Amino acid sequence: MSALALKLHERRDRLGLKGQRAGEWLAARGIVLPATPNTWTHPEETFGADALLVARLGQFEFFLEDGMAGTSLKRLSAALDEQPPGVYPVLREDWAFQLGGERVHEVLAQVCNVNFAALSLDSHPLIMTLMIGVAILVVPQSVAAERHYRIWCDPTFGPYLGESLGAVVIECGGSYTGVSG
Amino acid sequence: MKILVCPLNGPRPVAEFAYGGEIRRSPDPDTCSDAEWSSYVFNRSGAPGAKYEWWCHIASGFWFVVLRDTTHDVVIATFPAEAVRRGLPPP
Repeated sequence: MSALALKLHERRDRLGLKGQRAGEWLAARGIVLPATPNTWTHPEETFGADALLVARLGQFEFFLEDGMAGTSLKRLSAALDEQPPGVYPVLREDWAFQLGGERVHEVLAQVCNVNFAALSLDSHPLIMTLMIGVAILVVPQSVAAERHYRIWCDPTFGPYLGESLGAVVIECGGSYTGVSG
Repeated sequence: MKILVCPLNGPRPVAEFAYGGEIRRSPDPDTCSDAEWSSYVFNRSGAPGAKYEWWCHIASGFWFVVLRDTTHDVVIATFPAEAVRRGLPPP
């Protein structure tokens, strides 16, 4: 088991989409969509550097994040310039964190009401909840047989969430790195 | 801890929700009298009983309907917002 760590994710391209035809529009561009709200898909279980994460936040709402070397969202953003009917882009400038390692569930139990330890990852669950009073989006993932949590929040709450969550991580013997946003 | 069942996000502590008021049908503003309209805008029924209410799950911004017995503060059922368009049965 790796050491407990909270890391601020490097900047990646992100896109939100809403609208009655958003799913249809994405599917027509070859994007594999999660079938049900509050789930996510990833084209590769290995989470390659260019892999696109697609999360379904509701029946007609999606959140997408490209991998470090990904180009999918640049292509999609260009196509959105045509203003397709029933598809509405949502600006996503979230701060993103990755939390994982030993005692990770001990940290989460102190800052959030959701019991993440009891979650089964088979259905690719996505959780929208409050953490230290901040609305967050959480995607639990299993990387190298270890559970990691990717956490997104509104950028205005990013420094507060990072510092507060980082303090709990450090109290539990872990580390917090990254403040560049 | 009080738990509320969100139709989208499942059971969550009530701290994750915001109350949006009782669901009330508005009179037609083009045909109703000033007295009817002002009553709709300013008056609320404080009588306890089963009532339909708007609630919002703050973390996801999801609005939904709660049927709540305000006498005992017990949630009887929750519904997605579409239930309002389809028509809610009498509480």
